[in-house]
Amino acid sequence: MKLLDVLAMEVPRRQLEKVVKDLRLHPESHTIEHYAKAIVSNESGKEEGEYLANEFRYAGKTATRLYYPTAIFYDSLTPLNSILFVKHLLTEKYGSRVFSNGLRVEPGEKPQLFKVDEYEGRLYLSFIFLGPERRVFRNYEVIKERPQNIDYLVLHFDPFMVQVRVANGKEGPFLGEIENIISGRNRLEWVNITELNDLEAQKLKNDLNGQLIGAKHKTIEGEIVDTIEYRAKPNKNLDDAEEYQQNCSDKPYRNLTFKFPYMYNNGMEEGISLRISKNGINFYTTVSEQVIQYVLEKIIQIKQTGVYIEREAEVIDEAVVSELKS
Amino acid sequence: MKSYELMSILESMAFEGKNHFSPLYISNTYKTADVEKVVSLLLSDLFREIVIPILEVECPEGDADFTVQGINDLPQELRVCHQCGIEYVPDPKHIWVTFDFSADFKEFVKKKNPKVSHQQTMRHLKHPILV
Repeated sequence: MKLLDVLAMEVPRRQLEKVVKDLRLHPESHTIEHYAKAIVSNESGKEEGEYLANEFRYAGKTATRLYYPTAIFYDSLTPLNSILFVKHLLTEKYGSRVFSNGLRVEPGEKPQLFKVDEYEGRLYLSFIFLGPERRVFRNYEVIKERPQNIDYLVLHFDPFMVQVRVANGKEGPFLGEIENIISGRNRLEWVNITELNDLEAQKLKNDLNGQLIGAKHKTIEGEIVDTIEYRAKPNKNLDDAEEYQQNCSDKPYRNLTFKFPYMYNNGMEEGISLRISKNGINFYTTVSEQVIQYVLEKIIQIKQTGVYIEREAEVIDEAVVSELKS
Repeated sequence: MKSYELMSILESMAFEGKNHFSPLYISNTYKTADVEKVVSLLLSDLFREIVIPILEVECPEGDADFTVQGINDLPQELRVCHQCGIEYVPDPKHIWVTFDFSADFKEFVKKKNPKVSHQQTMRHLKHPILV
C-alpha cells in the first residue's frame, strides 16, 4: 500500500495536522487527502509520514487480546523466543515474498496469511478472509458479494506471545493458523493474559491514571436483574459516585471503560478510551502501536507481580490474632 | 468449608427469601468460603435435593443469553445474542453458574420456621374484619 493511502486511511487527522503545522506545509485544502498529499510531497514530511504510518497502520480502534502458549504435549517452545527462528519458520512455510511484496492468495473462508512486517522487534501478520455473503445494489442491479476482510496478529518475542487484533469471539481460527505455523500437529493451550479479574482491573485503572467512565456489573443474587450498567457524565469519574460504589462494589464486572491520559512521542497529548472485558481490551480511540504497547506492558506487570490486597489483609489478621493470644 | 456450614448458610438464605444465586454470593458474604469449594459442594450428590444448577450461557460480550441445565445440553450451533445481536457459538468457558433452591427445600425451611406464619395469624385476629 502506498504511503499516501496509509496516511489517509489509518492516521488520525490530528496527527496529520500536527505534522503539517510543525513543518509549515501548505496543503491544497483542509481535507485529509490533501494533508496526506502535502506530507508525502515533502522530504521531512515523508519521514514523519513513514513513522506515523508504521505506528498506526495495524493499530487504530482495535480490540486486542494477548495470549501466551503452553504445550499440551511436552514440546519445547523456547526456540520461539527468537524472532529469527520464527522468521525462518515463516519463510519455510510461505516463501520470502511474504516479507516483501506479500502473497496474492485467493481469499477464502479461513484466514490466510499474506504479509509479514517487522517493526520494533515484533512481527505483524496480515490475514485475509471472506466475510459473510450479502446482497448489494450496484449499477441498478442487485448482486451478491462477500467482503474481503483483513485482520492482524502481532507476534512478540522474548517471551513469545501472540496478540490477536480481531473481534471478540473470532480469535479461534487465527490461533489455529499460528498453531499450524509454530507447532505442526501439536495443539497448544492458549492463556489469555488480557483477562483481568476485578482486583487486576482496578489496579490497571490506577496504573494508567484512568477515570472510570463506564461500568457494567453482574448481579450475584436475584431472579430478575442480571446486569447493572453505569455511565459517567463527561469528565466525571464513577468512582466518585457513592451510588455506584454501594451498588456495584460487591458485584463482579462485565466490562469497565476507562479514560486515561497519554503523551505521544511528538508531544501530542490525548485522552484514550479503553474498555476492558473478560475477553480482553478494546480501544475506543484511534491509537498507535506506542499506546497499545504501553497498556499491554502495564497488564503484564500486573500479572507478574500479582494483586495481593485481599491476601495481605488475611495475613495481617492472623498476625493480630496470634499477638493477642500471646 | 464444611458441608454442614454450607447447609446452614443455604437455610438462612432460603429463609430470607433469596433464590437464584451465584456461588460468589456465598463466598463474598461468608468470607471463609472458597468459591471453587462452594461450587463443587453445590454440584455434589449431597446437595442434589437442595439446589438446582442453572447454567447461564454468555455471549462474547458478557450478556446472559439463555440457560441450560447441564453442560452436556450446551448447543454447539451458531446463536445470535438477544441482548446485543452478536453471532457466536456457545463456549463452555463462558458459562455463569447459578443455583435455585428446590421447591422441596423452600417448603422445608418454611415449615421449620413457623414463628413468622404464627405471628401473621395473630395479627389477623387482632384486626377482625368489621361488617
